[in-house]
Amino acid sequence: MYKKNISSDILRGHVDTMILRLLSEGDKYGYEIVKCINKNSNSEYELKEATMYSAVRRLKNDDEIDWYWGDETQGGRRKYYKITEKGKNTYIINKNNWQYAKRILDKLL
Amino acid sequence: MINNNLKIYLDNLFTPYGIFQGIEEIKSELLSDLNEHYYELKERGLDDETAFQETIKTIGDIQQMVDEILENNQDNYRSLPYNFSGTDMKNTDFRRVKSHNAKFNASNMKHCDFTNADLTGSNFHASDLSNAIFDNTNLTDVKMSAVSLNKSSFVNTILTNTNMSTSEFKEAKFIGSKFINSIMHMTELKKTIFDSCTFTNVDFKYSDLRGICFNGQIFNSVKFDRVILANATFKGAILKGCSFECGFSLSKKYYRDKQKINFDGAFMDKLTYLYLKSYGSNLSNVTII
Repeated sequence: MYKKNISSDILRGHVDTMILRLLSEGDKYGYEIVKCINKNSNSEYELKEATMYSAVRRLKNDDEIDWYWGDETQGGRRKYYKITEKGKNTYIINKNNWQYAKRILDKLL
Repeated sequence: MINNNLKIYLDNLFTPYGIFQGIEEIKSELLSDLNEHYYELKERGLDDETAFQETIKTIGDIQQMVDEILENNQDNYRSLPYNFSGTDMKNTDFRRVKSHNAKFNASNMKHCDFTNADLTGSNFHASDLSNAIFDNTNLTDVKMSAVSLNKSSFVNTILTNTNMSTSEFKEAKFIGSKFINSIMHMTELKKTIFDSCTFTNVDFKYSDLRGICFNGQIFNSVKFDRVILANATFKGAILKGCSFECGFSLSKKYYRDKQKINFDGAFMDKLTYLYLKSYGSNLSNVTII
């Protein structure tokens, strides 16, 4: 349990980049983002709704992503999130940074 | 179809945070997500209760999210001047609101809660703020003149350049509040409670401070000119550079009034001391600092 908490802290530091990656593969609404993260990590990382919405708002404020209303006819309309050009760049930079850090940590740890 | 238990659960979860910019949006998105998750679990054969419990586990740390939203709101809405003048807003929850230069003139604002709000530059002229709460509120540059503040609460309130002239403060309480450059002309402070407050450069001119208790509080350059101070107590208080001027007519009544102030155990600078001495105040147990 202790181990899991530590690693989830490390993972949480990359939530913004995880979301940028998902949105670079296609527009998604909130719950879809949570589900995809869960699925892509083989249920090893569970992104909480509150964490996801904090990240989404942060990304929106920084113009990394944008949103629009879906055209669902039944049920409530969904808010879809879409990556911007700025967001695509940020994703590439963040991913490169991570690979650089990972390479060094692999040597040091 | 929206599960009503989820809606109620979310409403309760957000209640402690009051109203803030973006709350309805975030709640409705959360509800729609949770609802979808809930019905997926139901489809997998979970019973109502288990599906509900599993669903709410996915919400996570709401406190952190709200804090982040509020922080952002402050950046985005800092200078939006709202106008609530002439409205009936009694019992409204304004906690944590950051609204600079807002107008609340001539409004019914009884029992409003402004805890932790930042109302810098706002105007409450001629409003009814009885029983309002201003705990930890920033009231810098706020105009609260001709206002009813009976039974209102000011705990750790910032009162810099606040103008509270000609207002009523019956049974209001000021605890740990900081008055700096505040104007309190012609105020009625007869049954007002002051505890652990500091007063710097405050002007109480023409106010009625009969029977007030200022024990142990700190007064720097405070003007009590033409103030009624009969039976006021300043026990153990610290007074520096304070003036108690009485204008042209040095009536006997005025002298008597000064004599009825209790300065037992107070500390004062020499000028304040000599000043009060000349009016015949009893300063036998005062320490000059």
